[in-house]
Amino acid sequence: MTLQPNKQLIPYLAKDLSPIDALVIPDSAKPAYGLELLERFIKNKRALALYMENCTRCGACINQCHSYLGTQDKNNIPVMRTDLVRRVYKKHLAAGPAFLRKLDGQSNLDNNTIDSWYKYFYQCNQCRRCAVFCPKGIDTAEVTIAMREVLAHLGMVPKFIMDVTRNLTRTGNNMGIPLAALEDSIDFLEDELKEETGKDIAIPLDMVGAEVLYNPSSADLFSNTDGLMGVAKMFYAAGVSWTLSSQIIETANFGLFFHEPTLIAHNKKLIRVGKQLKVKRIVAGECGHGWRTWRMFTKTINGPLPFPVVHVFEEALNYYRQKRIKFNKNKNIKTVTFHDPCNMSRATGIVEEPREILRECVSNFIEMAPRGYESYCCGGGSGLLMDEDYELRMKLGKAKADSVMKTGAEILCAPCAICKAQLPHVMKHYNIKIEVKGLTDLIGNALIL
Amino acid sequence: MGLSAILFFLFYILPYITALFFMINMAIKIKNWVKVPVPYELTVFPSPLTKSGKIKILLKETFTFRTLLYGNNKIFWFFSVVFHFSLIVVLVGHILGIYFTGEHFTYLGLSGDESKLLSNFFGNLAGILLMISVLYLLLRRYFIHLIRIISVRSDYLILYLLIGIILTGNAMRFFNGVELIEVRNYIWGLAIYSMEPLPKNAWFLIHFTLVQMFLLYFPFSKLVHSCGYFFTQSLVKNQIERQVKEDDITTQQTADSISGKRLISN
Repeated sequence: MTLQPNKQLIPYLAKDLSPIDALVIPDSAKPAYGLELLERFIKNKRALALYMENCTRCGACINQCHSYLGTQDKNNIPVMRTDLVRRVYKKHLAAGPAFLRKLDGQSNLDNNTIDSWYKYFYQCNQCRRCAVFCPKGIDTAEVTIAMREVLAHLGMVPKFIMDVTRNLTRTGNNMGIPLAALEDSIDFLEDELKEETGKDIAIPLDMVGAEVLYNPSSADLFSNTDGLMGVAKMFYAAGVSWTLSSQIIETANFGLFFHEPTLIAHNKKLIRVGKQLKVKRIVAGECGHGWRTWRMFTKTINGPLPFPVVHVFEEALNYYRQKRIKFNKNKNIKTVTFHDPCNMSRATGIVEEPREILRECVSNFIEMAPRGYESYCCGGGSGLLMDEDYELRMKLGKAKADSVMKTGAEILCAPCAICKAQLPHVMKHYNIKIEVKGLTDLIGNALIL
Repeated sequence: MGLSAILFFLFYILPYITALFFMINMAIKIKNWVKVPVPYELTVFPSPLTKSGKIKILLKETFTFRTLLYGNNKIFWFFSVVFHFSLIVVLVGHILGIYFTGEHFTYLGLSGDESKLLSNFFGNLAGILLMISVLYLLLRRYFIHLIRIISVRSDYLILYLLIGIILTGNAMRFFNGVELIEVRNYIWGLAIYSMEPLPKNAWFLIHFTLVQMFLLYFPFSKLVHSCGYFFTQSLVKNQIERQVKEDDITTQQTADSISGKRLISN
């Protein structure tokens, strides 16, 4: 199912994070339109229809949500968050006599309710930890995604997310990097590589017929450059021809967070580019939620693909197992701990692969608790990286900070662009002296060329 | 309207309404769920790799409440398991006990009296366990601060209805025994549209009425989780085939990797 883009593509008109003013839809029209949208979504997403009726309020999710643990706001308990919608559903849409529906706690759909949706669905990181612990398997992130889309159609989108999405549609990457800057950046990185290794390691752009199309996070070209250099070294060492594409240099997909048409458009673009460049496979770079869309949604959106979309860790592990690359673990002697990005562990199941690589390329690796599928979110997930929300972000990151603190490690390996943007702030805020790095940085460091 | 008219309605008319109402509404509910599309894969990992793996995981989850235990909430897990299992015993016990008037264990080679004794033992045990676990479920809604916050009126209503049903049921069991033959004749009479006399037991009448109330509320309450559970669970426990099959980490390799051992390279 594809939700038809509404005739007014309102997200593109949304202007500010706060105040949450209507732009196209006047306040007076919001409730009625919101209800119509909600009904449409419930009829089009089975998960949503089920979650409206099947929660028993057992409370198993209460202490599993980092958002509640950090903010101590009762509406951030997953069941209460869903209740913000469930109450409206019970009032306006559910079957059954009114006096019985009343017992489930109803609320009218008015602008206060819509404001509370905006407030609390933008305090959920869509990390899906509650789904791991819910005995019914209720995934509150699905509700968040759907409700954010309802809000988007009502013209209520944070400015940051809106800007990123605009960049994504305009330039094919989140940072809005134009082609000239991209070429500059690649030249610079190639020089750096030459200086560092003494070898001519190329970062090809738009090379038709390469084996691999590597789709990094755009942040890798400017802020986390070590990661991209690490990948370049890896492909060089393994002797694989690879390329970047100037059309799409972004593996993240903010559409997942709030706007399905954007999600679909970006996803289709990558597959189109892959076909144009005639590659054998697409390798997705370090990004959590983007990888979820590639791994779990690509087939639904595009149908059967002529090539697989694999994660860079699967690719690296492959090379390592085939002995095409070798590591010198003495290059990384600091103690490293690994943060499982939510969308890599719970949403796509990449948990053991990075650990296997880590054990080979660092000399001291320690686990943090909780790890793997139960790992806490960094607090920046689902696009909550805006400066306006700094205080909230720090609260959301508290659970993670606590688990990192206990490890006492010197390097925090967080292989996700959002985690890499969020965690340094969190660590600083909670006075933890630790360096945040991607796994490809460490791979690049330890590679024997 | 006299008392007899009320009794006539409650015990000879309402049962048909309740049964039809319950079945039709649940059928509609389930049909609606099936009809709504699932746009994207919602699997939460670790996921099963095959269909049979999925069924295995779902069975394990259903019979052990693994997720609750996993969530480190052991007391709640314990009472949930006790509650649901004694509920099964009670439901099965109702059907067998009333149909065979407690002599169903004769099929296992026991004598009639022994069978009744065993049937009573299971019934008493389940009745007590059910009562205790429901009381726990109710008390936690009152006394655990956060659970109290997330509770709404229907949560209490359902628990009080259950307590009413269990209390009257246990009263028949421990204080004022009902003649199973009478119950059987009455129920069977309902099934074949023949008016049989009501069992002469006030507890039974209250018990039966409360059960009807419970069933009437069932399709509009969270109690639909008894069916919806399988839908929600099969969404997040859907099997996922790995895209890169030849490089699949085998179970042994994963185990080694977790324990930190060097991987067997081939």
